[in-house]
Amino acid sequence: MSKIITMYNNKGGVSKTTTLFNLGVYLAEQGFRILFADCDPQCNLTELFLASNPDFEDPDKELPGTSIYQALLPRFRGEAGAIDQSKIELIESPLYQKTLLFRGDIEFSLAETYLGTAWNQAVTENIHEKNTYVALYHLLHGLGKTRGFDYILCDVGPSTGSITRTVVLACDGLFLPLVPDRFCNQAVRLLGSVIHEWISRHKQIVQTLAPFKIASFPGSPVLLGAVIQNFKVHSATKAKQSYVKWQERISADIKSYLLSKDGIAPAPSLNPLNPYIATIRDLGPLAPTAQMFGRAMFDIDQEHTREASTTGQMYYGSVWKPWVDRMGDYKTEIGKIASAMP
Amino acid sequence: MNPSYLYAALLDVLGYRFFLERDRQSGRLDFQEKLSAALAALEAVNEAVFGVRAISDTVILTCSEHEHFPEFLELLRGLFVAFLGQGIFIRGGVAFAQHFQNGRLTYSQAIAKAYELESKVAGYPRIVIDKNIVAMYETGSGLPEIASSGLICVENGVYFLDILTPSNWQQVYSCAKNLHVQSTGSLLADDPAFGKHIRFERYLRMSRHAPTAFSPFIGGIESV
Repeated sequence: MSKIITMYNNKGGVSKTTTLFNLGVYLAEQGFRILFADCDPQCNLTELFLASNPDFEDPDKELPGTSIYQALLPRFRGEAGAIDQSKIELIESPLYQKTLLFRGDIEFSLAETYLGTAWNQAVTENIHEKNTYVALYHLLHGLGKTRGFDYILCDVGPSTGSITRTVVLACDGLFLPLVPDRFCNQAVRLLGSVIHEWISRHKQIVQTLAPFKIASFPGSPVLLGAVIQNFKVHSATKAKQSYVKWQERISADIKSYLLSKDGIAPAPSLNPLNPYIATIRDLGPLAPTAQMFGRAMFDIDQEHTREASTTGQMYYGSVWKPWVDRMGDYKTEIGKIASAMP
Repeated sequence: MNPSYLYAALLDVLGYRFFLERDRQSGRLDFQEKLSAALAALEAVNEAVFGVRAISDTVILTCSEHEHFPEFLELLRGLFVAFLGQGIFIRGGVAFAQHFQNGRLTYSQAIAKAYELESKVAGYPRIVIDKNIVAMYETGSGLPEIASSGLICVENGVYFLDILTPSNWQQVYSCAKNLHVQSTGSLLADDPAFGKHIRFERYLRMSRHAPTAFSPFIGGIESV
């Protein structure tokens, strides 16, 4: 059975999309079949996934495949009880084998209203709202089952809105990407109670589904681990003091808030006293270069550095070597995240 | 104890106070006898599955299992026809929701919803089925087939029990006609009550079981 996973933090700018994409490519390299589901109306994952194909640089070019909004619209409109996932066209990566995309859609932002209403009304006898409430989970699991995906990696926006809530509850587990700063610390304090409230409400709704013969879903994602992002160092390996300070505070708050009884449950393999499973350094120019070509951060070729250099020349020798080292380090950290997958 | 889910039908006996007053004025118990005769249609119900309570102008029936829902609708159909046979229109609603009953306490979202359908949606003598029940049978798994049962019909987005069958159409027509004829005096200048008869006659006429040559029993509009 495929596992549905997300990177989630309601604080933005913590590399959710980039890390998710790189994790997916890494897992595909390991032989797993991956579906990226772009559940963020910002569509950054779709942009990244398609960046390797120059055909889609034209803004007027119609994108291939079925968008997540197009797929769910018949349910939102009450035209279908459940989504017929056999009609959904996924996009195969032109670059990476075994990776496919369920593409995003700017119009998916309209789903905030549909899913928000379902969230409020699913507990009543309103069958339409109950069916809408369970639709995304069954859609993703249906795709996973019939098309043989090992993992479905969902990208979500940095919010606590109804789209994000629906996606997070559909997941088996989530990673928490963090930047060691004040606002991520505040986000950690908030997230535990927010997700706990979602799970509690979900349990109430679930009790009302069985009498109406509507298939339920677990709705109890676990924390698979925290990932420190954008970590800046002074010298070769020594971290900046401010980062160390915030990392320590966040560690304490993950245990006290996020993983408290009023928070989210940790994965069985996660040590609550040391929830960091990976530490990703600031990657400097690697990130925009990789994004420009739609490649994994650990898969940049020398020729791609033309775009990073001011002269348009490829990097060689001592200039290129740090890139190779950083890619290696990055891949190692992504590998650690992959090891924490259920 | 937590409430469980069940189907509840709330039926309102139309003209209840009128009939009661007529008994009071005449010193007879005609209406009581008619009520008893109509409710006799429920005498053989399986009480392990169906519940029945009749208080004043209200009859409440419940059904606790999905698999017996078609049977429940058949029961309501029989009850509607039985009341009509006694010269009484009923109007109702059916809902599926939480319900709890213990001794003197009845806590029921199902009855509340059924009442809402009866009082705000039904409009004329018919038993409205909550659209969520229809949706549940369209999308839920492991439920009995009702779509092809001919038990539910729809008009203008309102689902209601089709009490007419090929075998009872003529009987229902005759009863409705008799009721209308007997009520002519009391309906005079009472447009809301008159409207119920018109809508019911229209229902008879629009039925797929109606004979090609339909003879209306309600007169048309006259010139003055």
